[in-house]
Amino acid sequence: MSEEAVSADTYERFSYDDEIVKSFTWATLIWGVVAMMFGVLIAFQLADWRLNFGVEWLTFGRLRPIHTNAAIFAFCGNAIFAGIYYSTQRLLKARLYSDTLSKIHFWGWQLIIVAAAVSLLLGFSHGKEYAELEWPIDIAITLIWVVFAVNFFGTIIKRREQHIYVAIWFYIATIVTVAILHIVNSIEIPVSWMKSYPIYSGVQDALIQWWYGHNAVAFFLTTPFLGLMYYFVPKSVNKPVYSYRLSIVHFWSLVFIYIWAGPHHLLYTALPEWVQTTGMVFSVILWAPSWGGMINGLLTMRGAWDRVRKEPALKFMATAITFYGMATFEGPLLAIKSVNALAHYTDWIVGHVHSGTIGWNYFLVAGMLFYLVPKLWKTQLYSERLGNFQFWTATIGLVLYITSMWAAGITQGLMWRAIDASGKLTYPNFVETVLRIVPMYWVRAFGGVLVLLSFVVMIYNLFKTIQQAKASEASAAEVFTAPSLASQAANLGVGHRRLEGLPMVFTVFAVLAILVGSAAEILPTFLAEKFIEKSPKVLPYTPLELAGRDIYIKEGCYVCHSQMVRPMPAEALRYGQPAQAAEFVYDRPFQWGSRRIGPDLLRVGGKYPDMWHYRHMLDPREVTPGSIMPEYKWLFAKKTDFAVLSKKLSVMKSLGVPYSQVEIDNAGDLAMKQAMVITKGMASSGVQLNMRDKEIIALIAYLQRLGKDLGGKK
Amino acid sequence: MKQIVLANINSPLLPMLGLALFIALFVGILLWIYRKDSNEHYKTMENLPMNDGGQL
Repeated sequence: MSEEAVSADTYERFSYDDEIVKSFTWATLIWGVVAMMFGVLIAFQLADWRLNFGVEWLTFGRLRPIHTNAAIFAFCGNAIFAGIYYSTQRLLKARLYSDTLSKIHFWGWQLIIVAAAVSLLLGFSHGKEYAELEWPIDIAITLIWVVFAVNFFGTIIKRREQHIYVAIWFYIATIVTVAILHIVNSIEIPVSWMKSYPIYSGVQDALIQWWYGHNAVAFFLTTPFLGLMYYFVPKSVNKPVYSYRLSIVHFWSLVFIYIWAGPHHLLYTALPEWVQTTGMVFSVILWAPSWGGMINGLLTMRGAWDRVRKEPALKFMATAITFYGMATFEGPLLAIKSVNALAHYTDWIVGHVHSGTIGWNYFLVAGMLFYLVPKLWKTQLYSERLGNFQFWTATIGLVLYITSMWAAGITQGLMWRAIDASGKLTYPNFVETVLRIVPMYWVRAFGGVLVLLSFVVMIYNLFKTIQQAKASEASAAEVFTAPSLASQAANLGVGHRRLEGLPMVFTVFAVLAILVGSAAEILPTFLAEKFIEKSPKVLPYTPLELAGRDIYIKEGCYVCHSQMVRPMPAEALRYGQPAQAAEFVYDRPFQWGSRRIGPDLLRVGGKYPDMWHYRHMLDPREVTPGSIMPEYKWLFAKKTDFAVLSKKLSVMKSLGVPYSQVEIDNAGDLAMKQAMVITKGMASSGVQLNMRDKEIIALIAYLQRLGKDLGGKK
Repeated sequence: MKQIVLANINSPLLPMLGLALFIALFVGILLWIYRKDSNEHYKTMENLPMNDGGQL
């Protein structure tokens, strides 16, 4: 666009909606501290089990999903909305499409967060990581996301800038891909107002879930943040991005490749091998575009390194981009099958995740806020010294976190696989491998405290910054001018230039880029009739077992226990026969898990007598000295909901589970009969018959069924 | 029909074809992006964040 070509009368006046950016900034700070407080609490719970307090709402199994959801969707979510709304308006020279939609977006999202926290505390969980929220909240998320999308694309339509800067591309990819991921992974049939079953089962559910789960990292924690990086880093150093050309290569290769990488969460599982290998190969390829972006971000700071030493904003941004580089090196490394064989299910993965979410996300948000808050409130940062103190506290805390998790993960992984000269497990007792790493849990918790402390210091620093701003100036809307879009239309270019000038066409291409990988990996599971060889030996769960399974999901057992024996000698020795795809056809949702804080449970059925489980849930240390598992005393007081079982079975039947009508009609009675048998079996050990309708009996029924259809006895 | 198509997905030619296609596309994009005569355009693009709009 040449300025001379635009005559003065085509200039339009407008103002930016910065109030909504301020609202999202406050929400970022509040939810950030909440997410980190939960993180610190659950870190201490692993170091000392007594911190579960024997209260059902405070157990690790329920709090861990709150921590992850709060960190991702509440803290990072509000941060990206703040950054996207600030930068989009300025890049497009237009006020947001609708102030009302902005407000609905803001309050809707906060309401969802509160609903999520309350429902997870109460145990309403979908049992799929980072997608735990039940169906009414899933629908609310979809609606609010649509509000966000309309507001965003509406702003694009009424823009006064012909060209769409690369940050906006990253935002577009985020909006459309998160919508697709969330909707596809959340298709479920309601049983009641807070319970539903996914339409996918077993292997298919696992594939869809980790396609979602990995791309939640990709399109919620990476692409929007890269967009923020491409806007706020140049703004902070007051220089354009190092290479705009590289940013285009970065964008297209990243969105195309990222979507394929999900199956690296399922290496050595019962997922077909070709999907695993595809996921692994694309994960390794992903290293290239990730580092392309990192280099582009870091080199944007060339010539400003003296300021990086002094200014907290730049210091945090430079470190964030460095951690992005480290995490995206570690990720492909962990996705290599032989490395993954050691690292999967251990704390190494937990460390990796936190070098991303703390090192990349928190630090980039901190850098952004140090730039944004003084700008929004038209003042100066209150204290650079506090900013530097925060920086070092957070960095030291994070390094302690990551290194302790490396040590814990590699130690435990090696102990699990150690086999002595006689061909037996060196550490046959799982709890030995746990007790060895408990000191690391203390180090991690201490690192977490430092990170939390740094965040509180930031809140104080920013609060003081806002306080010193003059209220009259801070809220006075500035008036900007720019030529209308119509007056620039003649300058539309050709090829890619034209494409990025046509946001809707661009969006279609971006969607195509992410659909290629999704279709290649997921479609075969829908189309191929023999994707999973069904086995006549695998039968649906009995009504009582199904009730027990839902209690297992409700208490978040999958957070600490996997149900996936991998085809490796050490696993076969420790747990029994490796898993087969056919075993999981009735598992809705699948419960393969991602971390073994306790042992794998796939073959636990029949391994111990019923009474062992009864005593174990009452006091884990009575049967496993040293165990770090919480006590589950309320399972002995709360009654199993027998009345809802008919409904559950009929929903399962509508999904293709072969229950007969007789079973559906009498589900409650059948369950009570089985509960009676189990309770009678334990009567000689002093269990009263009136325990038969308690949740513990249903849970025992489920645990004793696990892995028996194809696994047999050990 | 569906089954025939799926059965043919096993052909070893297909992955190679996919690889060739992806690489060709990638190289094509690279060549397009790094054309010399687009210098001026990228200059405009990279300066977009620097300008918040004229101020009264």
